[in-house]
Amino acid sequence: MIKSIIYKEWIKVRVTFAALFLLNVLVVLSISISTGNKFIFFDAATIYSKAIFYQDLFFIDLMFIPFITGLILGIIQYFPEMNSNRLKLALHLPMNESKTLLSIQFFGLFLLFLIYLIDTLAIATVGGIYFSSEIINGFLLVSLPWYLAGFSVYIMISVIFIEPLWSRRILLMIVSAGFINNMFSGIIFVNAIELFSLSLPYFIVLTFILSPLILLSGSNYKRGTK
Amino acid sequence: MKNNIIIKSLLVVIVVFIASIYLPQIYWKTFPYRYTLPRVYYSPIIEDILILKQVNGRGRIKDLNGKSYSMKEFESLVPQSNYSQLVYDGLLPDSVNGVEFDVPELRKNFFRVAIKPVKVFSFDLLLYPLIESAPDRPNLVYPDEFFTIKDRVKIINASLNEENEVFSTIFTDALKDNGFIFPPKKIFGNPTTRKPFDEGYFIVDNKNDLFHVKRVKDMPYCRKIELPEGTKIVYADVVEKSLQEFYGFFITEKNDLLLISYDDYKIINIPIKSYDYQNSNLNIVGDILYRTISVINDNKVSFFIFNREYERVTEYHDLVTHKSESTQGVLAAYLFPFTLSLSSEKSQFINFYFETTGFGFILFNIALSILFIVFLYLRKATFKDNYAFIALLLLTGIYGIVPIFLIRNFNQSNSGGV
Repeated sequence: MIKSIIYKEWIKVRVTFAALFLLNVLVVLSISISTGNKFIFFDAATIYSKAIFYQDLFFIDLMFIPFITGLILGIIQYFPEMNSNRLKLALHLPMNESKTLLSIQFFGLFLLFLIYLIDTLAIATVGGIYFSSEIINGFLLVSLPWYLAGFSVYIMISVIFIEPLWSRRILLMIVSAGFINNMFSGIIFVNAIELFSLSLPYFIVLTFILSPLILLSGSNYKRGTK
Repeated sequence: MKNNIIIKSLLVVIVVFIASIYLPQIYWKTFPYRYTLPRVYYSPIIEDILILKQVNGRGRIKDLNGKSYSMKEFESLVPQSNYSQLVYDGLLPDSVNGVEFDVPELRKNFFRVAIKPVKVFSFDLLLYPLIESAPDRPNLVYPDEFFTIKDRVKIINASLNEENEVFSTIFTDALKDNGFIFPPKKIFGNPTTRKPFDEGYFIVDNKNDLFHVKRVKDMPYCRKIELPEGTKIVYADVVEKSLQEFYGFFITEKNDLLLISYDDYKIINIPIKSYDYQNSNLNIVGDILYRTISVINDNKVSFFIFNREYERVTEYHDLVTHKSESTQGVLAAYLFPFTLSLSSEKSQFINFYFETTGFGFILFNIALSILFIVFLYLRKATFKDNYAFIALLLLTGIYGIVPIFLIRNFNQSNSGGV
């Protein structure tokens, strides 16, 4: 049963997934070209010093891309379900409803994970050509909260869309905005490496605490549509 | 699907977490509390201090006897700090207390150093530039070599993006020969070429010994600095000023302020009080006659005036109203059971900075719970289903309001707590 649900989800999102994948690849490509150009126009010492003291991230353009990716994937995956109340059918399948909802959500998270993994690998490879490993390792840590923001926005979209009550949806939106905003705190102005080095584990835990909230929305939904 | 108590608790945790970050933040943004601490200058002419204070938004200058001075009088009484204005007015004295007042000299002798907890608790750089201290050019040149020290010195050539193994070896050996124990605890220096000359880096090794390391004509200069027994350096502000009197100011774990002079690394312990490197701000202002050191602890400030031999001339202590004693602060203590902040003035890292402000919030939480009970009564809801919510309000107060409405639907009568 899970297989069929995942197959159904895959058919629904495959075009979007391809498009989002392409978007990420294009951004990474643009980053690698401009980094290459930088090393042609400026001498390496200048670029290194900027990277070290001003934390001039060569992949800063990627910052909101994981967030946008998560947001779009979430909307594409859950909007049709709610728009025509299709989720009702899925919840009437002879399978545990929690399992149904969580498998839909985990499938989306897995797709996001694939995209983010490729982003990270591409950035590490491109960066490795120009920068020493010390810089790259430090820098990759900075991008982790951005990916967490992508995961959390996806999870919260699923929770908000399935929740039937508008007043609750609005409250959940405010809470999500507050939560995701934390992932970008300090970064926009400072770009500082190691900024999150003390608190990142907590943020990872908090992000995955969000995941089961979909069950609460699911039970509200079921109650509402009966 | 059953009513899952665990998921609801998770929702409560998330919402309380978010609320305790943002609600106090919004509150303090709406009702800001700002204060200006007094500033103190020592006048060599009246041989006493002058205090600059903000009174009702206006600056007042007074001496210890309460006598007021105008800005012009103040400037001529403190010529060593206000020399630019005095030159402009044509009032700069030729000499004060036997010290000749000459603008280039005055400028050379003037410096400011600010040491804050946020600088002590800050990130280490990923790599440090290995600046040539004796370049064959008038200015410092930004080098292609960058270093990092872990269990050895690793020097990387930025243009080639590969290790310069010759440099790595000679620098590692130079440190080892001087008794350096890898890996280092801290590296201090000014990794920039925007300074008149370069003194390299001051590195604390794993045994808390301090080493001075720099690159001179592509060769390592390494010198172990003899510190008093048991000294642990936690922070250093390396001062590369054309004055060339000292290498910088060093803070120890015991909150001592040390100065290492150019005179064969002689260590001078500057006697200041009430300094705590984890919480206080330390400002050092030097001029041709005095060293004025201020220690700021929140709303308290202490000034210590020393002469050029670091003998104490005088000191002054003052305080202003603390944030928690202000109207906003008192109210905040009632409203918020605790405050969570992701950033802190005292550290560069994003972390969960938890703060409590007494037990005043209990009153407010009880009031909120009573309001909630009245609300339940008006809605004709049963109390039995809502014990958990009342407990939540008692515990988390203002932060508990949103989760209740996220979990419970009061429009559905007899909603079973969903």
